[in-house]
Amino acid sequence: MKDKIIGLFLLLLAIVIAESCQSNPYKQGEALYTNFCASCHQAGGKSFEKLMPPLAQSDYLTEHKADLACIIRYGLEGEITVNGKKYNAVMGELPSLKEVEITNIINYINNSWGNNNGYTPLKEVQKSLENCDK
Amino acid sequence: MKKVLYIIFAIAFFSACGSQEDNREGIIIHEKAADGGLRILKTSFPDFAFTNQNGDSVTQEDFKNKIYVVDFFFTRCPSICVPMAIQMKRIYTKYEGNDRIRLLSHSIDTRNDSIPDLKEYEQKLSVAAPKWNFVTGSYEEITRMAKEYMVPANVDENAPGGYNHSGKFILIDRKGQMRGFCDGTSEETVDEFIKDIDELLDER
Repeated sequence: MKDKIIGLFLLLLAIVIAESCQSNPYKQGEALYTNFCASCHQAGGKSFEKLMPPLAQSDYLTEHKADLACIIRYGLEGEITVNGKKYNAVMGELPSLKEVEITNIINYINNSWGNNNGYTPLKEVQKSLENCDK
Repeated sequence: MKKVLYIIFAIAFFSACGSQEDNREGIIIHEKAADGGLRILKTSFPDFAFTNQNGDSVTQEDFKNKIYVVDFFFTRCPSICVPMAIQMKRIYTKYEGNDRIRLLSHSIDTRNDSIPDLKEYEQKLSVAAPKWNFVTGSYEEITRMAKEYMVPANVDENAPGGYNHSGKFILIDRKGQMRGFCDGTSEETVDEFIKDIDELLDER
């Protein structure tokens, strides 16, 4: 009897966790994105007029995968082309973010809003950050 | 034994994927007068003369009998100006067909923001004067008006982009009186601010 209850309990627990976490596995990345990025890049990573390029389904993300860590830490300036459109806004730096936090943000962005850009391990982020231009 | 399991189950349920509260502080001063209307926070402002994105002169005369929203920004701003622009564009879109509403954005980067820069910014936002004026002038005049609107705006080499400025939106009624302000970077407080604009539109 006891075994059955425990078995049932574990099954329910598994269902609850699976259900509540299915939306996006990068929970810290999502929280950090909300706090540090979303006021400009917006909740859905969508573009804002001709000022703010999209993060959702953006070719810039896939073409500059190795640069993302440096961009998050040091910001970005100058004209860029995203999905064929030109943008020129100044992105601020976020010097307070740790390497692991940058990794979590990258993985959240790369796997949200229709993006399917794979997983970037912490080691790759650390390597990128050693070679930033700034 | 069962009880313990229920408790563990409950804890697991509530902690499985607890959503993190957004800790941005939204400030809105919702001053209501005794009659329930918006309080008059300041009765008058000095005359001003600035130049807008089209090179045209903009003075208090352009806002006569208009309800208008004021803010301070600069085009190379790396911090709060994009969220402010996102929120101001919402106000612009909502009142696009209403000639009684105007928007007035002052560039505090008087060293760098030229009239063509302001024009480019206007085009990036897909908006137009006279509904939304982006203005420049001398640094002294811009900061003087910022003080009048009770908004901090000044050169600060330690601030992002070299300028320290507030993300506030200021609401001025058709008699030129200050009637409200809000944190222009926060969608929720701007929702309330829009209600205040509607309230001023109903005033006779």
